[in-house]
Amino acid sequence: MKAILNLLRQDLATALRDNIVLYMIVSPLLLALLVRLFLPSVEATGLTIALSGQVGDDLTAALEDYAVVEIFDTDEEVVARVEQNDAVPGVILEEGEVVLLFEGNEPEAIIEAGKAVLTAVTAPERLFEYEARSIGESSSLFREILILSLIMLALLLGGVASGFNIIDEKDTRAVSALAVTPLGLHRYIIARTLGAVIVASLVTTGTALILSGTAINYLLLTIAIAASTLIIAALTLTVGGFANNQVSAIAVIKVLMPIYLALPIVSLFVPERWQLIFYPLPNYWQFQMLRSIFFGPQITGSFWMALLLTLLLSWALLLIMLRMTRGRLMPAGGG
Amino acid sequence: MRRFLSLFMQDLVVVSRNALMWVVVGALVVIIMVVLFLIPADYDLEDTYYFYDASKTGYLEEEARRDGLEDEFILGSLEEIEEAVQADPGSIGIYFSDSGERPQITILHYGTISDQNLNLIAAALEEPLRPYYDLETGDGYRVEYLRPFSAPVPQNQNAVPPLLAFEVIVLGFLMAAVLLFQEKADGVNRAYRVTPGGTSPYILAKGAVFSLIGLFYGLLMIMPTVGVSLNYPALILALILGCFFYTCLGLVVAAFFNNISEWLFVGIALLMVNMTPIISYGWPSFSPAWITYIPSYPIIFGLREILFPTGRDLTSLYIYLAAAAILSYLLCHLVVHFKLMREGR
Repeated sequence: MKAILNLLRQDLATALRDNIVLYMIVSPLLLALLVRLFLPSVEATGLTIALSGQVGDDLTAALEDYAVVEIFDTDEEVVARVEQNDAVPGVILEEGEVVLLFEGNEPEAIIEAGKAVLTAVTAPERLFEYEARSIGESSSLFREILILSLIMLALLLGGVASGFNIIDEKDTRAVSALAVTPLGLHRYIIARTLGAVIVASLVTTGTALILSGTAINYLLLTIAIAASTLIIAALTLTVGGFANNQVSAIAVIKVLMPIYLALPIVSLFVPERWQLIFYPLPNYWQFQMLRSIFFGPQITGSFWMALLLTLLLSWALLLIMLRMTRGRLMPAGGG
Repeated sequence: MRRFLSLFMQDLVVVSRNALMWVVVGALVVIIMVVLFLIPADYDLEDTYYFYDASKTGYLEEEARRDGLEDEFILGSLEEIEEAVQADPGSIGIYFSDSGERPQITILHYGTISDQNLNLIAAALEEPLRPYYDLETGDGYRVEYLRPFSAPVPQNQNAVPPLLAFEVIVLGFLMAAVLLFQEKADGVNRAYRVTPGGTSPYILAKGAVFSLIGLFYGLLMIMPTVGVSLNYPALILALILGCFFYTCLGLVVAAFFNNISEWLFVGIALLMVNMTPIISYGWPSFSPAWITYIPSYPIIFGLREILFPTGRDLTSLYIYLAAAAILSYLLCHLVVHFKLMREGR
């Protein structure tokens, strides 16, 4: 235990000396802060309409009840605005008739919304009144993707930061010195995993606090982080075992990121019947486990089932990674 | 020219030996598989709606079914709607009642929806119901399309322009930095300074290498996913200019750091900022001014127009890319000449 703690203390010194680890810890927190700041404005985005100033104040005021209205002096300016890259319909007046302009490549939803608004504002009589009732905290697919990506990223970075410590020890040949101490490979891996889990816990909890405040169950999050220990260990071994220097570590991370992060996100877009493609992946179940904490029960299975599968599958992955990287972590003698 | 060619060949050999090139090959295979087999062609990014029509007439239910809504979205009570919305917090529940006087709509939702968006939802619900109540529909205005209405692009193919913009075209930004730090570590820069090589061939060679790699990477990604019937001159021009621009930017940023550890934070942060226009790509109504100033914004939409033409004029894209390439080259020349080539003197 003392040897493991010594190694952890050494890691802390490396982290403070080498900016890369510090950056990895700070960057997801900064990202979370940025996301928290501009997520509401993305979610509140509705329809924008480019309007000719000639249509009159009554129609302008009526349109402002439904959309953000950008007013232009001439019809040509409205046409130029409609032709820009985003999906903004235009409204002009031609010989007294209101004309709703589309570029032709807008999403169907924008076209339908534009027509519905124009029908509503030009109709002499409305069909119904409505009332709206909010029944809880907001969520959206966009919010789900962003928050879960950042939480998964925070967990990944724990493993990556510890992997970089292994690379540093290989680079400086400190690992050769460690190989002749009584530490041994197993305790070396335990120390590296412990370091990774500590970093992952801090960054993940910090990210969750920034993004969700007190809206989630932190006991479940702590359990989920603990259940992610084996997958974090596998990530540490992947980065530290396969890369020999920081440049090759970037290459390993470039491979790891899409497999670890992008595949579970892609699963959100894949129909239910094809979800079983992802079942053998431990990070898919880890993603489901986190999803149930942050966004309620609409996941494959339940939180506890996802937790169990994360543990089992990441144990299998860790065994594979141990076999593959054993000889790359420590020179002979360190077993 | 000979100096340029010699540096070009040298950089090409160095890059081809780098582990990152194998990663690029692997990424290409994975991307093609994901686009072809994992992302559905007909995925809908819109909100989910649950309906309960409590009226005797059943007009809303009739319209919902006509719109292709399946049974799972048409529910039998207000409680069922509340349960459905609670289980799927991204969804919206619609309760419709009509006692014979005036129809009523209740919108159940999570979080806060702006009044404008609630009015929009109500207007969208009202429009198809108006004929049932003998009210005018669309008589007060006329719809005009500036260009012929284009068919929607399948969702899996729609993912190709962002992949080109954020994987292929930015490759030079990352690789130029990696190459530069390798050169610094090996002392190649110091050796190069005493040769008559000069700054321009140094930059142009790297720009040409990553433009060439980006071009092949891009074409190999597009052909299996989108098809071979493409506007090749437009695509090649956009890929080459885009790759050259990002390579110059990569050199400008990397010149201020000594190794990849120092560069990583700033480099990754810039790459992430560069990726934010993907939000506007997915949600085209979201286009605040600041996002349109990010270089990848016109590039991502330009690439979509090249791959899935709708008749939009691409001249402004070429002018933008050419200007960006020239300006970034000039800036890169200044930085490389006055910073990199004088370092450690």
